[in-house]
Amino acid sequence: MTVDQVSRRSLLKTLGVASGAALIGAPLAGCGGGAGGSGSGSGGTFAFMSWDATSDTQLYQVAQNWAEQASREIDVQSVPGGSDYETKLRTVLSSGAHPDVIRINDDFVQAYYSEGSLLDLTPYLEQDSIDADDFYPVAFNFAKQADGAHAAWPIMTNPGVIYCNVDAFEEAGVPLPPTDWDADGWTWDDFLDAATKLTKPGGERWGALLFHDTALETVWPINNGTTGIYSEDAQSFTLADEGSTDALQWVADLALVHGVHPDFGTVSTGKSTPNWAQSLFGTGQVAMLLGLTSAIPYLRENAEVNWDIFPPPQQATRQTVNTMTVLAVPSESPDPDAAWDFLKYCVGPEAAEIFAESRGFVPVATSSAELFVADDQAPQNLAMVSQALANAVNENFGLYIERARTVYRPVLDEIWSGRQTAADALGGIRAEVEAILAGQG
Amino acid sequence: MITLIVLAGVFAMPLLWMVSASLKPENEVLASPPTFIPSVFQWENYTAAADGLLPFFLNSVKLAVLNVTGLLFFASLAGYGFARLNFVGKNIAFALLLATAMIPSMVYLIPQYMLFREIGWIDTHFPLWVPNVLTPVFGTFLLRQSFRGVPRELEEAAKLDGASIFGTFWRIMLPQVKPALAAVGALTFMASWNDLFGPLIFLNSTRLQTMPIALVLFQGEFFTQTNLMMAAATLTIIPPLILFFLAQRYFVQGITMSGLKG
Repeated sequence: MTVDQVSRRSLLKTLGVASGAALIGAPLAGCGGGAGGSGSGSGGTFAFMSWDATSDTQLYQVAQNWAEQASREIDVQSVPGGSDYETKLRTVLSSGAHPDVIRINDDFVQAYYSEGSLLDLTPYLEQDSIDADDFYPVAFNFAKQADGAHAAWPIMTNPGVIYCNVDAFEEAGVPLPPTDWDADGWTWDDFLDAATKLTKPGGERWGALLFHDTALETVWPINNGTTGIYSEDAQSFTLADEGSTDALQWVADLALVHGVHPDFGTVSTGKSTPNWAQSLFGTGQVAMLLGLTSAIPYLRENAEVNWDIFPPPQQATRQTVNTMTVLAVPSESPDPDAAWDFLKYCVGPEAAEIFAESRGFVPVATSSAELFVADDQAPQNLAMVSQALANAVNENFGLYIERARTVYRPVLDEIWSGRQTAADALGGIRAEVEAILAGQG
Repeated sequence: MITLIVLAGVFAMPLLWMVSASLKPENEVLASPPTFIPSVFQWENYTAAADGLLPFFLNSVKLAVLNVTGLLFFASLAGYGFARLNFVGKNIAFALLLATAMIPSMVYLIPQYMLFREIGWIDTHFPLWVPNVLTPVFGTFLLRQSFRGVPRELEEAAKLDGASIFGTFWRIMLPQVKPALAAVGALTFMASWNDLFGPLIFLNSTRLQTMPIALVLFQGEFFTQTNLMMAAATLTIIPPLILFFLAQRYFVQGITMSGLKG
């Protein structure tokens, strides 16, 4: 018998004993439950289902603070985001195990409301005389439905800005963009000129990186005079309009013609890697990056270069995209009054201070602008986040935009690769996408 | 030989990348051109990643133990019954058992959730081991095949010596199929250890969550500390690796003797 055999057997025996002990002890020790999967009505445990709500996030802290001041026990049901969260949310709502409050993807608010899963908050807004003027319109008006209902409430926003590598601008002798949103100049031509001067050969540094996602599909077309991806009623596929296709072609040509942008095949691959774009920017491999303000915390912690934030370049107009952290009350919430109280707290001054500590997540109350004052870390132009929010638009949401995305997104690859022009590629699928938007797809 | 080395290198590369990334500063993880050796070995990534992982780890261990021991017990009983005992409707029952494996789990997810909620099992560990243990389709099938390969003379000798049916099963037959038990045990352990969907759906409280959920929670909504996530992932695979090295001989034997080799 070798030492090897002895140790393996001993270990297996030990594992066997441990297994037996665990089998006997476990039902006593740990199978007993927690909150039972849903809120338990007034005075009981308050259930808040969210994602990315581990204990070190601002949202988690706000939830705990609310529970403390409301003298409620809170059960923050932290579910990983993306499709996993949607699966769980669908399951709990379908089976009647409604949490008191849920976090919801802004893309899906309309769909959830139309199927009757979300509570109309209008009576609560009226009862508490909530003044819409106290909030950024792009956030407050987001949840308004066609029937006048207020189906959800955004509590934080992330507008899009241009991140600039200040060191690279100085080295290349290129003037930085303006810090005033309404300043003249800083046009698409200026952007291209800067990107050209900032680019170093051999991929050592790219002048610009415009991640091809909803932000790009919205910012460049709206600044070229269109309504973005869809019309305001989300019935027309305006990304196929001439102004939008010109804008997308202009972006594609940054890589295809001017060589100031990584090829979009590389960008597509990078999209599946966490932090890819921020990492390229933070390590000086990209000089200008279109991104949401939510990248600020990462760059404050990890960037190796001096950087700052600026408005996007203008063409017909200068606007940007907005994404939001949205909360909603399920229509069968066990305690809708407490849920409303929680929502109000999340948009109030105490929560705003906590959210603003991130420097990248902008509270929805206009009074929170005063919280965005530069400190000893980048960005020095921190006030830009409030300017961006005041000039931001949302994607025009509709019931079927998720399905429309599955049709037009793959076609965009034809543009990024140069196999088709934007006008040909998007013009060819306009009818199909619009049929989907009309609910006929 | 060279081909084998190259293939081994290709298969090992993601694992090596994970370990390498787990020791790098965040900025170096995605550096271009990529580097394999960290400029600074950041061992503190492991302490940072391990901080708070222990409850998830213990929950995973507990569920793995319950699943493996419970499933081996019931699957071996059922496998022996289907292999050696004669009773009315045996073949129909076995066909029905196999048929249940054909139903996609998503089909019965909501009814199952409603049932568990009704009996107070949501946000407990029960849904993550009791159904697995009581419906061990694959384990039953694999062990049935193994029991069928054991000579009948052993059972007949035990019967002549006065052994009961359970005594024959427990003292004579079960030791003959140890490799298959090891194989079923290893596969069950892996299924339990890597189960993301079950904890995701049936658990709400963080204190009850398991390692796969802990790893996903490392992935932030807007950015991820990749080095910490890789450190946590490295810690996560240590138990399965230990198990594999301990049981690999039985594992291969078990698959082979059950007639499931490719």
